Amino acid sequence: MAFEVQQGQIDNNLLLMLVGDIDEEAVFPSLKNLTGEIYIDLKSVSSINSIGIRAWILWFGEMASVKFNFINCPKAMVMQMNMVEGFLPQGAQVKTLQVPFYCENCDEEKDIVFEVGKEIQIQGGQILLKFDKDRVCGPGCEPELDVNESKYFRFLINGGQSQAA
Amino acid sequence: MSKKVIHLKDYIKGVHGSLQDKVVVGSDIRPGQAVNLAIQHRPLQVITNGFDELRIVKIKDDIDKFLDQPGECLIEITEDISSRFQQKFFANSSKGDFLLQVDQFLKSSKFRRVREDLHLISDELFTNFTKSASSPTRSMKFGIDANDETVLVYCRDYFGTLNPSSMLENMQRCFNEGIKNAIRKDKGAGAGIGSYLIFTLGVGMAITVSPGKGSLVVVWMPRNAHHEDRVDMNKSLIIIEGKES
Repeated sequence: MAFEVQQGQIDNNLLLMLVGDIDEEAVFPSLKNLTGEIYIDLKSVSSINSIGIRAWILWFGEMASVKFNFINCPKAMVMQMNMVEGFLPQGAQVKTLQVPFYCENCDEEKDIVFEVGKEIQIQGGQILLKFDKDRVCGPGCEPELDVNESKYFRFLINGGQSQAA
Repeated sequence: MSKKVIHLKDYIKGVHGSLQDKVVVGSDIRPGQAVNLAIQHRPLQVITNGFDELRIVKIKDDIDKFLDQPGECLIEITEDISSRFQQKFFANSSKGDFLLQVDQFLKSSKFRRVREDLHLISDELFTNFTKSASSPTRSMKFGIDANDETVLVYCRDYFGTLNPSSMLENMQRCFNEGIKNAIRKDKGAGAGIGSYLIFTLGVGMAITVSPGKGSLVVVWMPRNAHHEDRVDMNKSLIIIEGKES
C-alpha cells in the first residue's frame, strides 16, 4: 500500500497518521521547523523495510526539539523498536500499542490495543499486564498472549519510559 | 564426526590445521562474532544452535543441488502443499504483487509467529535481487518451505554476481557501530542494514555463489519461536563460493 501521512489533531496537538508501507517509495513530509508535542498514529502502517527504517530514523532526527507520542503501534513497528537502537526518537513516549493474541479454540489471531499505564504497568523496571481475557476473545476461550511477554515490551524499559505515559 | 568439522575451542587454540572446507562448530558463538569469523576466515562455516553440521558438509559437496533445492537440502520437506511457496519472478516484476503473493501464502495461523519477519526478509531479498539484476528480464526463483519445526525462505538467481564480502561487511558495520550510526555514516539507500536484518531475524543464513550459474541466499528459523526470542538466538552462517566454471 502506498505510503502517505495524514494530518489531524488530538488534545490540541498535531496528529500525524502514517498509512501504508514504509519502504523505498515512502516520502516523509519536511517538518523541520516544528516544535512542541506531536502524536504519531501507526495503526495503518502495514510494514517497514530497511530503506524505510533509514528514512524513518533520518526524518525523526530532523525534529530534535519535538516531543513525540506514538499511538496504536502495530507488531511490525514494536519489533523495530526492540531491535533497532535509536528507532524511537529521544524522549519519545509510546502511549498505546497492539498486542498479539491467539485463540486456539477459534483459530483466530487478535491484535488488542493496550495502553501504557493502564493494561501495561511499569513497576520497578518490570512490566505487568492487567487485562480481562474476555475482552480478547469469547467467553470460555483461553486466548494466549502470542509474544514473549518479558521481551515484547522491553523497549519501554530500555527507553526509560515512565508509567505516567 | 567428520574430520571436516572443528570445534571452536580447537580453532581458537590453532590446532585445526588448514581451514579449507572446514566447518567450525560452537554453540556459544554470538551473531556478531559469527560475522567476524566469516570475514576473517573465508573458507570457514560457523554452525551454532545444534544445526546438523554434516548437512553443511554434504551441501558443500554438491553446490548445484543446493542452488536448485535449498529446502530439500536443509530441512525435511513435507508433502503438504500449504507448506511450500515457489514462484519465478523477474527484475521488472512488481514488488507489490510479489509481496501480496507472499502475504497470501503466510496468512495461515501456523505462520503467525514468523509472518512479519518472513515478509520483511522477502522484501529485502526481492530488493537485493532487483538491484543486482542488470537486465529487467533476468529472473529469480523465490521460495518458502516449511515443516512442523522450521521455515526457510530463499531467493535464487541465475547469474551468480552476489558479493558475499559486501554483505558480510555491511552486517559487520551494523553489529559494530549500531544501525543508527551505520545510517549516519552511509549515504547509500539502505546503509546495508537489509543484510543485517535478514541475518538477525533468522537462526541461520547461507549465502552461496556459483559464478555464472547462480547465487542463493537462504534464511531459516524455527516456525514456532517468537520474534523476540529468535533475535536473541545464536546463528549459523554459511558462506559457500563455487569456482568459476
